[in-house]
Amino acid sequence: MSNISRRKLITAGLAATAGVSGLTAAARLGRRYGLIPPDHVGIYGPGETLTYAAQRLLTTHSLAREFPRSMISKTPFANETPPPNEAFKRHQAAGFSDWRLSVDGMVDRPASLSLSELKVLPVHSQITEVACEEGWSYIAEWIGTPLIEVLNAAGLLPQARYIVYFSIDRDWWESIDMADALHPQTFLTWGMNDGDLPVSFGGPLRLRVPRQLGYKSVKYITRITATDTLKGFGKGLGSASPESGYAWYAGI
Amino acid sequence: MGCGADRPDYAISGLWTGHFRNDLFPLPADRNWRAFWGVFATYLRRAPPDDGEGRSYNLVQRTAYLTVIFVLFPLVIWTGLAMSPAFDSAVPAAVAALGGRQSARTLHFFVSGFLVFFLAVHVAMVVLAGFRSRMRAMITGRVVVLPERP
Repeated sequence: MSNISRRKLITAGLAATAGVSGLTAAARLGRRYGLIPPDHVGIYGPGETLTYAAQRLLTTHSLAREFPRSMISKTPFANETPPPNEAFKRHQAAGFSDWRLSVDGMVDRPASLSLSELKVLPVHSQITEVACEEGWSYIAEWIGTPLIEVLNAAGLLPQARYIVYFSIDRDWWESIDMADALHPQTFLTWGMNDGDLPVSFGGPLRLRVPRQLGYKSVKYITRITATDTLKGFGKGLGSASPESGYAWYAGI
Repeated sequence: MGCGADRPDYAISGLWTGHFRNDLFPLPADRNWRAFWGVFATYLRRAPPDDGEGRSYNLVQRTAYLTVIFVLFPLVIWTGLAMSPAFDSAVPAAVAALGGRQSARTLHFFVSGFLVFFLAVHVAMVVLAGFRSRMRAMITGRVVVLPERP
């Protein structure tokens, strides 16, 4: 074993300094270019940050794969959840005629839209795959209003960085960054396979985020909020998922 | 399981220093099935290893390591990426080539099974070959071939 020489000590010191300043610079650049996810804390934080930063550098504009009509799944798996609460049951009994979507936060013109008002906006459809973190997946046609159309109609402010969206069950909420919020395939979905979106699949209104795992596509949407920070929402980790151990960014 | 394609530093240094070429690719004389089964037969007969065994890898070990580094690790990474919806949107051909998400998932399951099997055999061999001397060799790079036990 050789003794630690002065030269080695200096080299190690320089290397450590370079490492620390490199990390600091990386953190600053990451914040500046929106490469740090809200759930960057905790033991999985560094992994979440690397994943999210890599995806945002490489896949920000990519389009989810669309499939031919012949590949639509014959028996899609609904992963049915019981009606979330009494209010939902009343809406269901009334055929969802009073269902409203409120759009608020960093927008010029906060609004409350009925389903028919929503359907006046441009309608799009896509045949894409739903992939669950449990492993199952299916392909379906989704019909709806691109989220970007609703945000533009409400006059989204340029400082907005995230869209937070809530189910009628207020414990079920998620958020996405603007890359996914303004993405042309992110739909407020109200139709599936040429019919209304069934309740079991999230009807009357589900926010579909096809480039992320299924749990980001929250069912029974009643509210979307534009914000520049996720601090005031829940524990500030971005959504309900990280609070129970799931990743906020689920493009994986 | 830190080696192979999940460790680019290992893969690059292995290529750079000639570790793969010198220590892992089978010797020219060994590139046939007879030599392969010969080593297998030695294991099955539980014959004591010859002197060279302590210093270099035998043919079965070389084949296993090369398979893990150049086949199983790249495959497990590829099939793993294929289950990412964002990766699928960026490089759809890489997912389609595997037959779609569910085929990728099945392949991923079996490849990880092989890797776990390799790990179990690998650790068992290290223990059988003498845990302390093997660990010392791995960490310091110095191989001490102990005299045959009676």
